[in-house]
Amino acid sequence: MQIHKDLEMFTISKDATLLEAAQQIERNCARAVIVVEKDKALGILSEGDLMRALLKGTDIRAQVMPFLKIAFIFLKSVDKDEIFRLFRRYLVSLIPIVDEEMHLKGIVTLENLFACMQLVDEPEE
Amino acid sequence: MRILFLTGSRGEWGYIRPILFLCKERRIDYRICATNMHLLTSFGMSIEEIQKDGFEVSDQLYMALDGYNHYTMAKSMGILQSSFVDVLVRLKPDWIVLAGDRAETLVGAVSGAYTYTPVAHIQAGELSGNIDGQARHAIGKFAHLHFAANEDAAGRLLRLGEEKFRIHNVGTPQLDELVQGKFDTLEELKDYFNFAVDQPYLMVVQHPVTEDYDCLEHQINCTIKVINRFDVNKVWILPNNDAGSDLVRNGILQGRMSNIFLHQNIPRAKFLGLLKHTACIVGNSSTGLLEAPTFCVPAVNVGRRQHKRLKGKNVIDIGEFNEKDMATAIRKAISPDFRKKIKGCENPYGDGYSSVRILDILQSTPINDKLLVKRLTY
Repeated sequence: MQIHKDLEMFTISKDATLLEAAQQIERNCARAVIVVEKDKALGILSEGDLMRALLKGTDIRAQVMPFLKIAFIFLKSVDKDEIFRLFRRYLVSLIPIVDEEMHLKGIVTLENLFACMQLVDEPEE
Repeated sequence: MRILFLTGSRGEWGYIRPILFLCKERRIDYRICATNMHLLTSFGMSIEEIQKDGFEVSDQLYMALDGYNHYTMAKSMGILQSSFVDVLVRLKPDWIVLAGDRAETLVGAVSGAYTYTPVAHIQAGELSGNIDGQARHAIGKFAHLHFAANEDAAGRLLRLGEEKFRIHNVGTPQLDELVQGKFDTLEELKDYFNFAVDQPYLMVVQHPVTEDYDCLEHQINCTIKVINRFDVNKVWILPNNDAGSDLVRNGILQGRMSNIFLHQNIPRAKFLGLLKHTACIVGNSSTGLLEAPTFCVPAVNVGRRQHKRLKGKNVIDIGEFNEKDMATAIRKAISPDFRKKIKGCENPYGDGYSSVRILDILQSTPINDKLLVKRLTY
């Protein structure tokens, strides 16, 4: 399974603003961005999180940290079946691959998932 | 009869929720005023949990100033005081019910006392460490009825000069839901959490202690180092917004390993489910002392936050944050011998039938000068 190894457009620093997060999400087309500190994954900010913050009246130049989802789904290895199960169960749009210390090693997006799936022939009625 | 409940955090929401369910059952006019952490995104927006439980929140009072230091905490209290009195003017409740020992609880009690609105205080008369311990004592002077969780607390209130008729030993209401089985099953936990809840895991709940502001980083790093010695999953529930909470949150995020699963605000039923199945709860939360004994779950209590508070057999107390003692304590706590020792242990905070007692007392206590005009007994 192909995953993203070029992580620059999927990550922002913990000092970033909601505006910078939005700009990054617009670039990466993965509907979310990972907040990192020295390549350690701290949390995820999704389009939904951003929208909820703005709907509550938060200024778009506010810092991302209070809005971060820290209970985010991640994996330590690229296991196709587990990836499929997690996407299906949690309906996320990207899953970070991390090491023991939460350093970011790669990212799996829905795009990656669909690229290695194919339709099974429908059984005849 | 109109009862106004004041709540500022998920901690004491657990105390009052079973009483509110009973209010619904008995068709009592209840109002909820939510403040402080319930309204903060960075603390999980727990007001949504109140609403999801089917309760209407009549007032949302923002009070928390950014900064999360001693000064902002103190200033925030002033903000709440003014707004809360306006709520009293509008609602004119027969009772204000509040629980615990937080700053907003003290503000609620003072507001009630000065406006001659009857105040009932849950979890009254206990000792806790921290500025909260002083707050709890002070609330005792302003509250008109005290609901104590055990004889120890009831006795303390008497010695503090409270009249006997005001003090009721009812147990702690947050145990009611444990006893009623209102918590997630293992299957429901498996569905929600992304780690193996049917394998041994440690639960960590560690709040910043206001007096230890300067040692917070050390405390967090100590806990992280200690739990990393145990090759099991850990679930860490993030802290209150006391002075220092930002430091704690950042410390955890930086030091976190991939087998430490962080959660910000777990619905109470899931929190209780996690507690029931954990190998041990570690930290300084009152959960280790109040709820864990009902499930006979070992608790390693570290530092001074629960200092001098009544503790059951399930609690191993460590006075200071140091790696060696903490690791030894956890090793002991998760040992089969200790589990066997605490099997069937009693909970010094009650039997899980407090809400009925509390509401019966509120409904039957006449609101008159005897109640409202406090006489100190010395």
